[in-house]
Amino acid sequence: MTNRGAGFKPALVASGEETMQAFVTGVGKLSVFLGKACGVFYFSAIALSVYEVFLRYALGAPTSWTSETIMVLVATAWLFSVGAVTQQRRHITVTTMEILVGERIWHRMTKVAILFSLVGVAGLIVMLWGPMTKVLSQPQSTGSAFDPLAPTYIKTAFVVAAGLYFLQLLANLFTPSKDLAEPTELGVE
Amino acid sequence: MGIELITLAIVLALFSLMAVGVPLGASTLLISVATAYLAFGTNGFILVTSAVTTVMDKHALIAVPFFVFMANIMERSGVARELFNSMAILGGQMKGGVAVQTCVVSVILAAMSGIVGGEIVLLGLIALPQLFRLGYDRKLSIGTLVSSGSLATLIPPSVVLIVYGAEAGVSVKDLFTAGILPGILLASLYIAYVLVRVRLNPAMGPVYDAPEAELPFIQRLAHLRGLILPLLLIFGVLGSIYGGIATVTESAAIGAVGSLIVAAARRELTLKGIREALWATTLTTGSILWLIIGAVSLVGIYNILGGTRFLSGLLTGLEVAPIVVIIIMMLIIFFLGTFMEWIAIVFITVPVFAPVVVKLGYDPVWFGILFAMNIQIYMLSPPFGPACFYLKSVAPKDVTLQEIFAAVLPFIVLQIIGLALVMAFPQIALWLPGL
Repeated sequence: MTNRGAGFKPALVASGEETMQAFVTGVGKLSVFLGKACGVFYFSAIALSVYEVFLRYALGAPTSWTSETIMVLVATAWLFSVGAVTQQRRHITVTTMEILVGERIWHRMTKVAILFSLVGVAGLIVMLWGPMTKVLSQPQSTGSAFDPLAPTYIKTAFVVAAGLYFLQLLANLFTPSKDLAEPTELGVE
Repeated sequence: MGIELITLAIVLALFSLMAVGVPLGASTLLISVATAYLAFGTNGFILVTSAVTTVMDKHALIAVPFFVFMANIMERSGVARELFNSMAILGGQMKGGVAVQTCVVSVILAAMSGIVGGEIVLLGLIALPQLFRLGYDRKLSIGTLVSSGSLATLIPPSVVLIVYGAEAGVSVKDLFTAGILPGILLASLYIAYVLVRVRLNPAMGPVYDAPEAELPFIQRLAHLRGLILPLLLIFGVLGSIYGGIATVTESAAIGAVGSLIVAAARRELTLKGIREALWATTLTTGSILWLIIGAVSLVGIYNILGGTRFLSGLLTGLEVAPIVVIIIMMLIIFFLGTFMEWIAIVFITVPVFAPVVVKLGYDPVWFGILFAMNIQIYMLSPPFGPACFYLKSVAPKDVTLQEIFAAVLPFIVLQIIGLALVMAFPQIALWLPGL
């Protein structure tokens, strides 16, 4: 009995670790894939903006659909880049305490910071859930000439993106601190 | 609980979370969720949600990823290097000429991208080794480079002004126009400082040693070909805005496509380069958005609790001259800059300050320029001056952070002088938009 129990426990631990590792790898890959896909959205938005200027000034034929389409493209890229930003630890963070407390304590604080972030993002998901279900049951459009369902799409995308943010934070929590990407303290200036 | 205590609790919570290492966006998000729940229960969530979703309605913000992409493409091309070489030759045998040309190149680069980080990295890679090799005074070189590289916060198309305009509800085009003269004023102050220092001690700024620099001025003009592509790009971006052809967002897209054309014309455009630039753009702008979401949600709930009214009342209730209130605002922004990212500062302070500025009878465009000039001081100021960190990341190993911070101190004084001048003479900023 004792031998069987002792053998069973490490096997369980190993299986748990493998599952966790698979989760970390899977979420990381998804985040990076979506992050790279966001570039295509930005590129399309840029191309569409220039196309609109060309149509308006060269052909005198402005469109009614480019402006809102560009907004949706950029919003999509912004929202779905969150996984990549979190995986690469590019969220702007004050890291000065690392100098004061040392590397070992800082690594522990990093995990605490992720826990706090998880609570914040969970709160965001809870907050956005209601408006999302509302627009899904009664779809909203912009009311413009083109009248796309942009509000419905964005409110839904917001929840999905926040969910991705939560999953990547969870993956970061399960990743050993030494294996996490170096955080950034600087943003876009 | 009164609004005073709520304000104090929010500030303390923000400090604590940031100290633990919680990202700024998540810190503000967490505090806003907690505040909404404690104040209104689950009903409070709806209030925060409506604030958060408005972020996606800020149309001017679309220009930010476009300009970031443009900067990323330019960073990967050799345009800046050629520009610097051309300008250095134009400076000829003038003592301190290369430092002066660094300032001029910075202004041109600023007008091309509006991103400080990319500009300082470029200058750090191109200009700093040259200045060191020629034997320029190290502190003068570093200070000139970091301060002039930060001019992108003020010179159009400044990303700082775009974000300020989006939040304050002020025309970005007017802000761009208003930023031109203060930007030139600061660049002139830096150049004057370099020339005075070199005049007093000629060893600080040796002459450029390239053979072309010895040519007569007319012949040196031939080397200005390095200026052609950057000027065309600037013309494409700013010309399309001021010519009324495109909105700021569209001009940013024109700039992005223009940067691709410039890179292609130089045979430097590769698929790998575009992919890398898009990836860098995604990461940079993604981090901005989630910072904005956090800041907007916190300000949203704080506003509903009467916080904005409370702070506005505090400022307008001061029995001091209106300009003193502006100075206090500048000091608050500067203080926040010592530990907070500028985008968060915009979204936290502008909703409070902008109405007060209008109430005091001032122009919000002028205040936007003061704001950008203040942000420029924050870029250089110890202990977190981002511009200094940007240079450190590409400077030779023997350049320490302490040396960089010591080098920028005289330039911070110049920035404060510039800020004081625009504060005392608002027409420096408002003359061009008024034409």
